[in-house]
Amino acid sequence: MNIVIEKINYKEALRYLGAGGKEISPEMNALLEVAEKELLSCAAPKITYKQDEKEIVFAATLGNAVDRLIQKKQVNDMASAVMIDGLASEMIEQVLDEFEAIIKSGLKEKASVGGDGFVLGPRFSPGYGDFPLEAQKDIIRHLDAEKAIGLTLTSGGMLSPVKSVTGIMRIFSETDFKKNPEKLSLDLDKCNGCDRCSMKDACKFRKN
Amino acid sequence: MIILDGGMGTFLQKAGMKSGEHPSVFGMQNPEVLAGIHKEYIAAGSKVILTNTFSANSDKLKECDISDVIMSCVAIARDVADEADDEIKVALDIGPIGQLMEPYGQLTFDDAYRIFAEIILAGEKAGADIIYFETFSDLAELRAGVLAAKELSSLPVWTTMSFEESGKTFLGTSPAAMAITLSGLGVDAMGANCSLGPKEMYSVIEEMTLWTDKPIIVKPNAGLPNPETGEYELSPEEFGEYMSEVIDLGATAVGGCCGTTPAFISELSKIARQKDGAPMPRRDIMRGLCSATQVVTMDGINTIGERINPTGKKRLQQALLEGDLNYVMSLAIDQEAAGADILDINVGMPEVDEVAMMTKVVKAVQSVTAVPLQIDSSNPEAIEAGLRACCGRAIINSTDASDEKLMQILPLAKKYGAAIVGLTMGAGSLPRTADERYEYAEIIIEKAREYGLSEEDVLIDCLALTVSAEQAQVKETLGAMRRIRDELGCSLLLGVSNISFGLPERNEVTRAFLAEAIACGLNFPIINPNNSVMMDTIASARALSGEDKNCEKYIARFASAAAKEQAAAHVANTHSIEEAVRKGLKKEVADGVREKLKEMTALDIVNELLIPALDVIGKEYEEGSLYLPQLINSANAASAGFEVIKDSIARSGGDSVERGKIVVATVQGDIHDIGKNIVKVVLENYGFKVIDLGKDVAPEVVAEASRADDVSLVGLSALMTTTLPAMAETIRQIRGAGLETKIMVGGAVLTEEYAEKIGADFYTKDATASVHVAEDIYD
Repeated sequence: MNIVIEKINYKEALRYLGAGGKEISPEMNALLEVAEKELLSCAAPKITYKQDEKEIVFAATLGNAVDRLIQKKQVNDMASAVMIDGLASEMIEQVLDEFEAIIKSGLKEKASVGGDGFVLGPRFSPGYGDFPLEAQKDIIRHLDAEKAIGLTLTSGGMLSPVKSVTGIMRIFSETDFKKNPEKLSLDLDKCNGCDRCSMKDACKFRKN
Repeated sequence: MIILDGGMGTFLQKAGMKSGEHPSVFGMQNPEVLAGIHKEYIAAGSKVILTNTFSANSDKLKECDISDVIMSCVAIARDVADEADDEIKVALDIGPIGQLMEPYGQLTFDDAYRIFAEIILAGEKAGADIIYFETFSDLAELRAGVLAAKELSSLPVWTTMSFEESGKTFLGTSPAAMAITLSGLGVDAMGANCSLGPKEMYSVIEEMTLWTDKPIIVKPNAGLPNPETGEYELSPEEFGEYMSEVIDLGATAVGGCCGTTPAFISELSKIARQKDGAPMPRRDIMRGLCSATQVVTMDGINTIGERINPTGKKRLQQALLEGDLNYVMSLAIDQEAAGADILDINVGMPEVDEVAMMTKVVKAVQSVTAVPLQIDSSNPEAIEAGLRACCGRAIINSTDASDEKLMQILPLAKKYGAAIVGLTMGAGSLPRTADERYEYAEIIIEKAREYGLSEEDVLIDCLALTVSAEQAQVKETLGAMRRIRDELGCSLLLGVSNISFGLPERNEVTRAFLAEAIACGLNFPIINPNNSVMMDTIASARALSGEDKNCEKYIARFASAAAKEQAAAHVANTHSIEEAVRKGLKKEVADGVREKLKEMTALDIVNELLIPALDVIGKEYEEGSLYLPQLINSANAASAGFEVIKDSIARSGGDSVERGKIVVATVQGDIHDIGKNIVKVVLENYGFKVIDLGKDVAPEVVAEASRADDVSLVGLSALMTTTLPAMAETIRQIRGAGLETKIMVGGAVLTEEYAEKIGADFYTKDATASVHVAEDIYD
């Protein structure tokens, strides 16, 4: 699945530079616009996934050209490198938001033709909370992500291309969920991924 | 036409292979299942069957002896083939290793070579007839495999890559770049497989046939998969119809990949019978040079950037002596941005191990630029090192017409598929006349043919001598070029700037000479692409020759030049150095420093102007009124000032103004190095000498570098929780070596407490914090 992103959220991108909350000056905005243009011309977002009744396993990447761009910018334009790096981290999240929306509308369609309603759990990736990073290997193998989207693991267990995400989303039937919301998942609307994370006290990228 | 086989995976799953189970291990344990699949394909008409070894390599299958696995799988196919009535060939199937290679990944060329070697040796021993690489998306990795196959085995080598609908592989290689590179390496057949259906593969094969006369392999999927069900869209008959069209492009070997079954192969057999005896289309092959991602054709004018050559360049000499690849990379990036189509790489100078440095520089340059390379050395070993490291098709610079030199260079050109520069001179004797030059050119081309090259692989250099010293030689050079172009039909290369040596206003003479030389057939001028006068002349020549259609590029070049001038005039309201640093204006800072050098010492400029300016910026960043990119821009602008100072010191041979040496590294297992690189840039811009060991650095390497360079400060970075233990181990080893150095650590997952726990001296939360630490230690 290919997803097109035309605009990146600067405020979120800057959060990855450890600069959350500050106002974006016109000068900074101008710099970001140039960096965004370069990124968008290189990025080739791709997602592969498998879906059954209970869960969706996915892997997404912006592709190798983004790694190359960041590597090149680090040689003689570190400011751009930093901005593109932050923008790319945000971009892959936006790609996944888009993907999640597509999955949701697919589920809704199914529910509307007589199936049970559903509740889609949050995206959860290896390395967050107690979901071990090593699970990336299983996800990549399960999805044959190397062939499907060119996603590989380094011998140290890191994703390459770097701007990539693997993860799962649980699908709960509405009936089950209403019966036992506590056990299945907490209040999903309020859950932004930070509150329940075991790293929340040390994390620089916290949202609140 | 040769019929290959089809998909294997679905068969194995049907026979009980579980998700996550390794297909080769399953095949080994169920030989009758595997043999059954091979037999079905042979019954359907396959004349070449692929062994069940696609993902059997020592990296993906750590738990087994890989030779055993390969030999068992090959033996099963061999037995089935030998029992069949027809003559059936067994192809040793080799897929990608599964890790990305340098420069984008961690896997080295040597590691990849070793992994492929193991498979190839076992496969040949077990009776394979063909070495068959397929589904590659990284041309560099495939090159390592092909070189291993050619060097270690005498079997034919067939290769296919997987292309996306964009017409390129995941790593950006086009069918043209693949064809140019692999034809050069002398593979026996090439083509495309997997990823696309036959319909989508048409344009890929069409492009490939323009660039190679090798037999073409087409092995597509059964159409595109349905994203919901994972089923492939084409029936055997539909598949056959599309394949019939692809075959008419000139395909020699056809089969199927994912989603295809013996029914698809039967269909192909039927088509093959129908087309039997039909003449193959004649192909006129285009010639070119390439990197993994960019192709340069041999027609038109191609400029070769000459800046990466230490002769007479103090700053580059210093960088090579110190192993400062960053400077070399920035030279490469600048030349590419200025319009160079090819970059010359020369690293020969005293006290530098040219062979080792050539490998390093070629890799570094290819990691940040896309243009093809010209490997320039008088040492054949350095040339081979460069060619081996260089992905794509390069030029060798150079050979002369002496037997001795030709016998060194031509075999290298043949083996690596490189083009060569032929200097029109004999062993140590310069030609005096146009005729002599022509004769030397003839000798070189004739010899090249003996080694299996063609005149199209040779770029003749008629030697431009200095007009002020050898005035009569100019017309001999130009006369020889005209005649060689008309009568020998090969490309012409020339270093033009030498012509004006010793004259005032050199650009004027050089420009006139360049224009004349182009008129005489020069199509590979070697120049400094940062010299806009020369690039203007080339832009003009391209407009005049019609290479630049409708003068579009010429117009764009000068439209943007006018805009730039205007912008420059706008900014040039002379800022002070402090202001220019604040606004991140590199050129302004450099000019300001150059001006100040007339009245102040280098050290005073650093201490009284540049550093205080940076300190103000750093403070504002810490207070939160500036963003990191703005801090870096200011740091970069200051750095432009430091470059001027370094240059001036290098020229005067004085002591450097470095404030102290610091080793930095991203720890083992971690490839996220942008944080470390920010720290490096900022420290450098504050005048510190940073020894950057890179990313994924082993603890012992950090300890050794800290000892060897006798530093007082080491900076370690880690981004992931999983690599924190490696950071702790690195600190242990530095301490264990009895070094006095202080250690600062940083990275997203680190905390003050953790830094203390693993024995670091300082936790630095960002780049400016690392500057404070460095200043405390060194000042």
